[in-house]
Amino acid sequence: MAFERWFYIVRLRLRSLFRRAQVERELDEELQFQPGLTARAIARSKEECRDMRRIHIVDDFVKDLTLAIRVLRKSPVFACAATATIALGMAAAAAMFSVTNAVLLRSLPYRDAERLVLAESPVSNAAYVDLRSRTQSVFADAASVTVYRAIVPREDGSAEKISKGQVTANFFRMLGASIAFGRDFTSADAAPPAHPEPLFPPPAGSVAILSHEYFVRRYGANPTILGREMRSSGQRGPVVVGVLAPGFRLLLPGGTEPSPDVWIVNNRAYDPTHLMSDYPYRVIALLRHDVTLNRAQTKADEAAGDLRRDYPGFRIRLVNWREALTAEVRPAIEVLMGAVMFLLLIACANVANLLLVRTSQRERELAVRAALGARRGRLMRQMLAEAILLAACGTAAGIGFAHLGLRLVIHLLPANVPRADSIEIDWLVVLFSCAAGLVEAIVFAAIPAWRAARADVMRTLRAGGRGAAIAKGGFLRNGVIVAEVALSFVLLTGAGLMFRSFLELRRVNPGFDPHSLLTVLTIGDAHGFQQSERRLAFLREVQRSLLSIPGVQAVSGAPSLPLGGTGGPRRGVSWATDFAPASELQRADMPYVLPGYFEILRTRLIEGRTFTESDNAPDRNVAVIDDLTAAKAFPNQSAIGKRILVSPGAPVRLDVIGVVAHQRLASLAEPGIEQIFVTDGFHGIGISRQWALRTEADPTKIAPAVRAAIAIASNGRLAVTEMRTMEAIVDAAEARTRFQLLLIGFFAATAALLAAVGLYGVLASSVCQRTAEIGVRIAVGAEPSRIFRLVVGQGVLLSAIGIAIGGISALGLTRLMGAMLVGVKPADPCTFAAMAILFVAIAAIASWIPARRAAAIDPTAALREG
Amino acid sequence: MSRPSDLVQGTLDLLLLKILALEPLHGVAIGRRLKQVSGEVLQVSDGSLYPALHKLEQSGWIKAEWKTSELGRRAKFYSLTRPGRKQLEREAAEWQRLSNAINGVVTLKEA
Repeated sequence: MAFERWFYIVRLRLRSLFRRAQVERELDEELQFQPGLTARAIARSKEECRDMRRIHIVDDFVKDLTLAIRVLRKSPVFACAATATIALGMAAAAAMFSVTNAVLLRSLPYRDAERLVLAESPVSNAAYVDLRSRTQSVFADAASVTVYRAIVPREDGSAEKISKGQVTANFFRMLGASIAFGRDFTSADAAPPAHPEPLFPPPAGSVAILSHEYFVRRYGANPTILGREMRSSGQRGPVVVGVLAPGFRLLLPGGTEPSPDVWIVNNRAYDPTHLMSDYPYRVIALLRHDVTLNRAQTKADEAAGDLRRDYPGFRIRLVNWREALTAEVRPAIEVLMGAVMFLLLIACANVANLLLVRTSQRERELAVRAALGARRGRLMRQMLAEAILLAACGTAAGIGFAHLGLRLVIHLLPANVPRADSIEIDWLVVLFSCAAGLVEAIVFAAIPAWRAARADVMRTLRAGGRGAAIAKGGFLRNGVIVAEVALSFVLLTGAGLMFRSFLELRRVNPGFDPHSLLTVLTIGDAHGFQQSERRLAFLREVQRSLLSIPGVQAVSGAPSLPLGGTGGPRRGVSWATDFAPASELQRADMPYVLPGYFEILRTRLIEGRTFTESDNAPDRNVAVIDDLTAAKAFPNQSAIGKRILVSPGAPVRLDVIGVVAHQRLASLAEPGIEQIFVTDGFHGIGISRQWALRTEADPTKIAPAVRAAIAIASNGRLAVTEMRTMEAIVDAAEARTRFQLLLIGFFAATAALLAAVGLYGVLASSVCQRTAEIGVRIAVGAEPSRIFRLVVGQGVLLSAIGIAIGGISALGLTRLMGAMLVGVKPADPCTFAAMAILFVAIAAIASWIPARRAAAIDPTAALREG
Repeated sequence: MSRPSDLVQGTLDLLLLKILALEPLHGVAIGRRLKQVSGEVLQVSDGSLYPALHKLEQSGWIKAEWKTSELGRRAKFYSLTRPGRKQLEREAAEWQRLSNAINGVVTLKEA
């Protein structure tokens, strides 16, 4: 009913607005025949009828806007400067907001996304099954997924690298993923095979679902693949039963892995003996409607407690999926978003300043209009209309620039930003920009409008000249400029801290020498060998053939090299000195390495020896520890010959044979925890897949030889998936800090420029206003250099006040940057001092031109004019 | 009662809605009809009739249509919209409540 009424109302309002002539004609016709009334009464009646249309607000606004366009077209320089300033701030804000929106705000593209939780660390299949059956009271459903890469040989002899996802049969149903063709997995698909298969690679299962993208790329979107086997050069594969709808992507935290191309079903049998020995599975669970994360965590703790009886230290921590996905990048994005809002405020202050100067110049015009009967409200509305017009143009241009610049931002984004490919200018970004633009317009219109409304008509008209009016605006303008300086100083401090972090990061000693090192990541079914002896022998064969490449000096490997980010099994272990009670277990990383690992990375050996070939065997319980572990476990004594207790599963005693310098394994910025190195052969694993080759010359030149050597040595069992120099890897590890530095540096530079321009504007108009005064000073004998100092002094004083206020705010605000900084404290006095000096220098330069103009004033001309 | 301002505040809307609920009419006919059905007691001046009608139209309670009048001239005929009919019920009920209350007070026996 209400809707129907609004239908009539809106139709009538639109008609009144756009069919004005006809509406007027109808009014004339309707009211023409009224014998009892005078023409005057009829006219009044008509006017009352017009009032009932309630469109005068729009009418007046259109009038104001038309006038605003005329006024601004008369001063194109001012209009362009203001629009460009707003556009600059708005472009940065819109681009940054689209990043925030896509990465942090948008909910995950799954059904009931906010109720989806993730177990923080991967678990074994057995643990997943146990967990699922014990937590049904809090979870509506739970599924598991693991992603790995696979090489598929093609008919033409080349190899195709694909990403495979192994999921439980309920996975797609739980996430609400839709199947475009064919069918979803069923529980029958997940029935375990008759013969148990090796742990790695995961058993293939007999059915597969393709991602739509792979379906198009590999099979040309030909639906006849449904029901057929995925054969490739004669090798058998699973039967394709379905194709996902386009756009489904798996978004796992810390995942630099691409979303799977092929999905296979987890048909692994429940085997409790594998509870702790194999854990690639990420558990995803859907909370029941009324269950909180805390309650689910309590329940999961109970379930884990049952399992802990056999495996001490076993724990499952649940996290909201979206939060887990964004946890790593959230602080940086929030800080950058804050920085960009500062930039927007500065742009806003700058435009407010421009408008203030203009209002002063127009004081006379406004006074005349007021004298002719313009109401104050009308004058204020006029100011607002001009501001809104400027803001609208600036916002539109800003969104345009953001659209252009966004591609560059996405290109520069570090790899750890999830969903970077979905960053775009969408309606929410436009809405945000428009809201910001409107707020901006109101802010920078408020001050001039207020001044316009308070215009003292008599005095302005009597004074006549340009001088009097500007003097009154001085205090306000100074206030705005101080605020501007304070804001940009905060940004500059942030940029300074980022810059120092970047320098620190470059200076970090990662514990290895990245020069002239080529790293090679292999994949294949080398791990299909059942016995560890054969796996180790196979790896030795590969190592030997790599070493035989001309120009290669040394070769070694590990499941995962430092900073590799390949997600190889680098486990955390609990450890203690041999004699410590079990309650004093501590955490450490336990990297597996091949003999020669420390030599090839040139990691400093502090005492003892490193691994030899004979140490690389299952029964040799020896370890090399880093200096952190040594200092903690055996302070002030030699660690060699001591024993430590580690428990990756069942506790084992290890003899310490050497102490090496600590390596930065996971991140360049964070030192990481203690490290206890064991050989790849320890536990009989033999799963090294990342090789390091030290070369005489440019490591990239031997790439083809490496591929050939690996193909020959492994007899086609292994393929190279990734070849990067260690320097490139270190460079990528710096990408995040570099990106943040680049962005915040850009914001700060822009902010400083805007503040400098603002300062220049204020001083220039101040000099203009004081022309007469300065003329008198020069006439009575003031040296030009004194006048020069006077103006520069004013500029420096204003910025000094701004710097003081900005410095105090920065002390509080830079604390929020803590997570982004490397080796620098948020309140680093050095940075603060440097930025203050830099800013004073900027202020001095900005004051230069007005000061020179002031010093060059010709006293006679100035006095005659004044 | 000759001047519209003498009409109880807001009752003009109610009267117009009620008149139009009976049949669609044009402006002049509405004034005539009101006078007639109220036994010449209620009368609205031409000067305030049209603004009142336009207000009701702009509020979506009544709608207008150009048709030929009984005298063969083009005239703007007003009729109730569905929301207008509801509004009439509400206003009539409110009027009943109010006039009952006033009646109750006015007819109190003086001791």
